[in-house]
Amino acid sequence: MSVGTGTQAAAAPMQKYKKRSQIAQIWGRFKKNKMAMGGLILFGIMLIVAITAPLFIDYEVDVIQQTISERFQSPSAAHWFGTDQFGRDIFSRVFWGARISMFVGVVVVVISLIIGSILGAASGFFGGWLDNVIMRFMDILLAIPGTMLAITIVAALGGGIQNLLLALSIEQIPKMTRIVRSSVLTLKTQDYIEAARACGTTNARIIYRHILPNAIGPILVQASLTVARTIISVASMSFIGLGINPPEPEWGAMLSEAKAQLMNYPYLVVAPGLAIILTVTSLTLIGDGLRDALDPKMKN
Amino acid sequence: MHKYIIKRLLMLIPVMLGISFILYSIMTLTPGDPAQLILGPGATEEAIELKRQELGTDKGFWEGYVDWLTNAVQGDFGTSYRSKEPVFNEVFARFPNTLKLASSAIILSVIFGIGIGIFQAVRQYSMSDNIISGITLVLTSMPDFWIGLILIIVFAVWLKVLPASGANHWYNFIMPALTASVGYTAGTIRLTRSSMLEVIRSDYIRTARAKGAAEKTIIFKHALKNALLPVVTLIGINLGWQLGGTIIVEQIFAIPGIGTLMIGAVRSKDTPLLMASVLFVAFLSALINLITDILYAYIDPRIKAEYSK
Repeated sequence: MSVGTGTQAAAAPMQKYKKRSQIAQIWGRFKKNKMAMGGLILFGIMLIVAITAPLFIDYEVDVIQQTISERFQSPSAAHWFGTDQFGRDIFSRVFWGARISMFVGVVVVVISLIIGSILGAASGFFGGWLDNVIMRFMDILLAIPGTMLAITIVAALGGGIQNLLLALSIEQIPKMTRIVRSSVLTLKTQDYIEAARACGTTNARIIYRHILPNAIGPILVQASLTVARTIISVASMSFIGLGINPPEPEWGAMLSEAKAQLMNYPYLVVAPGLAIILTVTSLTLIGDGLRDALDPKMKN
Repeated sequence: MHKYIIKRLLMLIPVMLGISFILYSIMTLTPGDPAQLILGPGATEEAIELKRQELGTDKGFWEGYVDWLTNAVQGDFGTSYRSKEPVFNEVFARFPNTLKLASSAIILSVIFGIGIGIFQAVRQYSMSDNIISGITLVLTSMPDFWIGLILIIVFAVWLKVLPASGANHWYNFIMPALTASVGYTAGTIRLTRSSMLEVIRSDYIRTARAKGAAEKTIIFKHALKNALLPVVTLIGINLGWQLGGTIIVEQIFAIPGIGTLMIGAVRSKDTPLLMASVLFVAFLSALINLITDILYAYIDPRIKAEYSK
């Protein structure tokens, strides 16, 4: 472990083992899980597609330009997934949609992770009134069931990517805070923290160098599952008109447009739906794999 | 135990206060004036000012909230800006639809979730176990509205056996309930399976096997009782969550439920109506969680012993 002197003192009896960071250990077990690796590869491909989409798709021409003469074409060699009611190529739109979903998913996780870690670490580490204030506030946010809070925020502020990021982050922060707090609570009584404290390490350094790196496991699991949930939330909210606005090719917004054509052109719902399922499944596999890798006993 | 229940009920008060304040802030601090929205773009400044006084939105932020709170504590949650009806009239008119949808979805998820979960657990690592695990994984990854669309295509467009929208007959709820239940069913299957597998490996099951009890007795009499404990909690959480989570499904199938009411209230800046509908659902789901915890204590004597300490 590379977490400083305190850890080495605590890990002294295990000296004969090769020193490996917690992440390396988790990765070692994760690698052996075929399903999880499959998920990781799938997600990697989706991520590369999302990042490189502008290289082979022209946003103006392929994604949003309306060509009325080409509307409702069934899947063909020119248009692999067919065209929609404005004659736009669904293949290009679905691939471009990956950019939006991945972007929102990742940004929401980063925001909620940063804020949740600060709040959760402070809450768990310092305890007392600070813990009470923070956690009671989180309880209030968590007591609003389902997606009601996020929907209220977006409906009040209006759609668009910024408001969506705000609403979904607020929804995820309490969950992150709870997870970080509970990890910190179990870690802070460990001997190596006591040792670090005895060496005169500052609180901030103890949290940043000794506690958070060792709490990384549950945080990573939650992060991968949060990206998955967020991608579904974005799609759901765009589907009911409270998210990304047309003509942006967000998957949920595409499905919303497809719903109006359900009677005559049901094939329109296939591609965006499969894109969501593939992305979310890959993230779920990663999350499950991480959970098993963290605690080999849990695997049944 | 009574002490615990009273403590939990008391803890609801600050939570409900907090929720009401958050909702009030979202509604008042975001752009949009309810008086202006009701009167339309052609209204004169005086007419809007009069309307504001009538609605009570001419007061300051704090004064407005304290007024609402004072009335709410006395049981008066105000009237809807639009319909002029007391807000709970509207909430109670819509709630049965949401309750029907949420509870039928949960019942479906319990029946299929527990049934399939047990089936998988007793055949661990068999072909059927693996196939079902794969299917549940994909089902948890599906957005519910997409499942709704597929159901509409199959049953309303192709087979023409079920209506695509409405809420007047019981069969209107078949597709919505299925749609809302899929994610929860998959979750229940996964939990039942893993919980069952854990219990099957415990010593008392080995003892039961050793004394020659029939496999059926072991699974349904000995193992199931313990394996279902975590599942009961999940069902309670799901039901509470579902009451606020049917919004999307209500929108797909055009069911006039709480979710539809809520979105309408935010859009028309109908603050009292929004606060009443969200608070009502939040309160109900907190009660359901409390009941689940109490129920849990009754099914599991070990937990009951914890409380009475």
